[in-house]
Amino acid sequence: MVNNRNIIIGLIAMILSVVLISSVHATPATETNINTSYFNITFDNVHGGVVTSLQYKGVEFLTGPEQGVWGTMGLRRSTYNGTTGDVCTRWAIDMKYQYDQTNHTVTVSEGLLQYNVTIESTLGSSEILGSGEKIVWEIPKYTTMIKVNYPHTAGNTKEFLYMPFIRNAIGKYSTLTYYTTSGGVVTATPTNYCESNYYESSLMDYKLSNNPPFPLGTMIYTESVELSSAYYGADVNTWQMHFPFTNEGRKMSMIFYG
Amino acid sequence: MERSILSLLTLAILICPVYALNIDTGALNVEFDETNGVISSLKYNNTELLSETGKYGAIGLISNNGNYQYDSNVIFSNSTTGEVWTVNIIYIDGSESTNLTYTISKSYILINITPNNISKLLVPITQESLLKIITTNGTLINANDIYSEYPAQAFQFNLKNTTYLIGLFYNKPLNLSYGNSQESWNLKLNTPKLDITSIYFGFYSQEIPLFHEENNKNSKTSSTSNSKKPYLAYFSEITMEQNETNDFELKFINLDRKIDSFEVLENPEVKEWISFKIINETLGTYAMTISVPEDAILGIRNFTIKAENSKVSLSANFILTITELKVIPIEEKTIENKTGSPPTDLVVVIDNGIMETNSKEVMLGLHAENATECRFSNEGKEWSEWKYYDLISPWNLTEPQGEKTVYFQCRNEYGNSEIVHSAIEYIIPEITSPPTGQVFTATPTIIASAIGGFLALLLFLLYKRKK
Repeated sequence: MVNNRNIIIGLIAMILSVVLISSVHATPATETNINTSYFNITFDNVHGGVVTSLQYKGVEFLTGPEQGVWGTMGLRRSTYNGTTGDVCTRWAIDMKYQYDQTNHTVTVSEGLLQYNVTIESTLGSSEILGSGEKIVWEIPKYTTMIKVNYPHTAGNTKEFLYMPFIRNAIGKYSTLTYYTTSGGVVTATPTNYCESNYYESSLMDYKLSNNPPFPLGTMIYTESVELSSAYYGADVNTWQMHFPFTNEGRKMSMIFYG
Repeated sequence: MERSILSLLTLAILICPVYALNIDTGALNVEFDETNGVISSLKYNNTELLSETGKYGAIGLISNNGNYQYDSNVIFSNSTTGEVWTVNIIYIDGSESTNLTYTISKSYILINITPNNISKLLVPITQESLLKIITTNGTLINANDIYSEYPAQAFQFNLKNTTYLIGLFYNKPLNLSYGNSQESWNLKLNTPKLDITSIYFGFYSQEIPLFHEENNKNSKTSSTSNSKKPYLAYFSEITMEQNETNDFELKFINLDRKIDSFEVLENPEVKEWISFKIINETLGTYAMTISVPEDAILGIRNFTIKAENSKVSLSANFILTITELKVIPIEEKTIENKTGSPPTDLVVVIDNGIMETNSKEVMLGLHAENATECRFSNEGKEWSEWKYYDLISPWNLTEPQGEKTVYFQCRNEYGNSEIVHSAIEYIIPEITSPPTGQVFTATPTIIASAIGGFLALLLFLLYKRKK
C-alpha cells in the first residue's frame, strides 16, 4: 500500500516536473497581430514574417495563407539573369520567397502614432535578406496609410514585394488600375498561366467591387517616382501583383480608402 | 546671423535677373510666372487645369501672415536632367525663408517644401468636374461648394473623363481645405510642421491598350513582341449624371477590317442604355453612346463590351459611375429649406463600451443620423473643432484618474443636435511595462505549470521528510 502510494506521488511529481521544465521554454506565438482603429494585420512568424491577412475596416484584401506563398504578402528575390530558359520553368530554382524562410523574426515596436513591424534574419542573412537588411512595416494607429520600407540595394537581379490581392470578391471582380509613368491609365485584365503584364508605373489603384456604391480599396505608391515597374498576373481569383524593391531600395505607401 | 543671410537673399533677389520658364514635357506643360515663381498655367494634353488668372488662379504659397507668393519676388533657378526638370524657389516672407522645389516629369510634379513654416500651398484647379478627397480615416468624399477642411492624404480630380490629376501627400497627411471661388476648386494644402513636406501630383489620361502581353515575367523587352496585335484604346472609367447622354470614342488599333458586331455583357440594365455607331471605319473609330435615364439609381455599374469581326474578338471592361443630376443653384442661398432637421439619434461609445481603461488614448464609436460634422468635449467644458462625421474617432481623456465623461454633438445645415455623453473610469496604471510586439500564447500555461511545479516540489520534499 505504501509502495503504491509512493509510486503515485512519484508519478505526479514527475509529470508536474516535466510541465515545469517545459513551461520555461514557452513556445513563441506563430503569428504577430497588429490591431488598430482601421487595420487587423497578421504576420506569419513561422513563414519568414510574411503578411497572411490584411484587413481594412474588417474587409480582407489578401487571398490568404491557405494559398501558401501565393496568398501571402512578402518579398521575392530573383536570381534569374533573364537570359536562359523560360522563367516559368525556372521558378523553382531561381525565385527565393520570404514565405519559405525559417530564420526570420518579427518584432514590433509601438510608438505614439504607429507600430513598426521589423522583419530580420536571426542568422544575420537569409535567401531574402542580406547581412543587416530588414523589411519594416509602418502601421499607423489612427490613419489609413501603411508604409513598407525596404531601404537596401537589391541583392540580385530584381526583388519584388509580392501582393496577392483578391480579384473575385463575393462573385464580383475587383479592379486593378495602373497609372503609368508615361501618363496612361491601364485597367488590368487577367493573364494566362506563366504570363504577366508589365507596366512602368509608380501608382496603382486596387478597388474592391463587393461594396458598391461605396468603393473600398487602396492606392499603392512608391516614393521613388523615377522609373518604377509593376507586374500583374492572375489566377481566376487573385491579382498577383509585384512591386519592385530595386536599386537603392524603396518605400511603398498604401493609402486605404472607403 | 539669420537676419544677415536673409538681407543678403533679399539683395540677391533685387540684383538677380528673374525669367519666365515654360516646361513642356510633351504631355504636361507648366508655366512659371517670371517674377514670383508661381505656376500660372498648368496644362495636361492641352487642357488647362487652372481656371482663373491672377493670384487666386496660380499655384503658390500663402504665408502664415496671409501673404501670397504671387505678390512677392523670389530667388528662382532651374536645371534639367534627361527628361526631368527641377525648379528651385526661395520665398521670403518677413523673417522666414522657405525652399520650394518642383520636380517635373512627363506625368508628374513632385513638390518639396523645406522647412515647412508656410501655412498653405494654394492649388486652384478648375471646377469642371468631380473632386474626390481621401481623408486620413479612409473616408472618400466628394467636394462640394461649401468651404470645408479635412485631414487628407490624397485627392483625385477627374476632368471630363479623360484627364486625371491625383494628388498624394505621402510624407504625412495634410489638412486640405477647399472652397469654390467662381470657377475653381481652391485647394489649400495646409501643411503640418515637418522638416520636409512632399506632395506628389500625377497626371494621367485614360487611353488603354488591351492585350499588352508579355510572356516572360522578368524581361521588359519581350513586351514589344505583340505590338502588331489589334487592340482597343478606350476609356474604362466613366462618370455620368442622371439624365445625361454622351458619346465615348472606341478606337481600334492595328485592325485590318471593320467591326461586325458589338455586344454589351454582364449588365442588362446598362445594355439598354448603350448604342454604337461608326465614326471612321478606315481608322477603326467607333462611338459608344450612353444615355443614362433620369431615374437611374446612383452608384457604380460594371460592364463589358465585346467587339468582333471574322478575325478578332476584343473585349474591354468598363466602370460606369452614376452621379446625381446637378441642379444649377440659382439664388440657392436665398431660399431657406425649413423642412430639414438637425442630426438625430446620436450615440457615443468609449472603447467599445468597457467600464475601465488605463489608457488616456481611447477610441470613440459614433453614430448620428443626417450629420455632416461633429465635435467632442471632455466633461462638456472645451469643445474640439468641428470634424467631418465618421463612425470612429480617437480621443484623449484628461488627467487625473477618475470617472471621465465624453460629450458628443453633431450639426448639419439645419442646426446643432442635442448633446449626448458616455462615461468611463480612467485608472492610471501603477507599473508601466515597455511595449512588446511579440505575442506569446503560452502565458496561462506558464502560470499553471509554475504552480504545478511548485506543488510537485513541495510533495517531494514532504515525502522525503516523512521517509
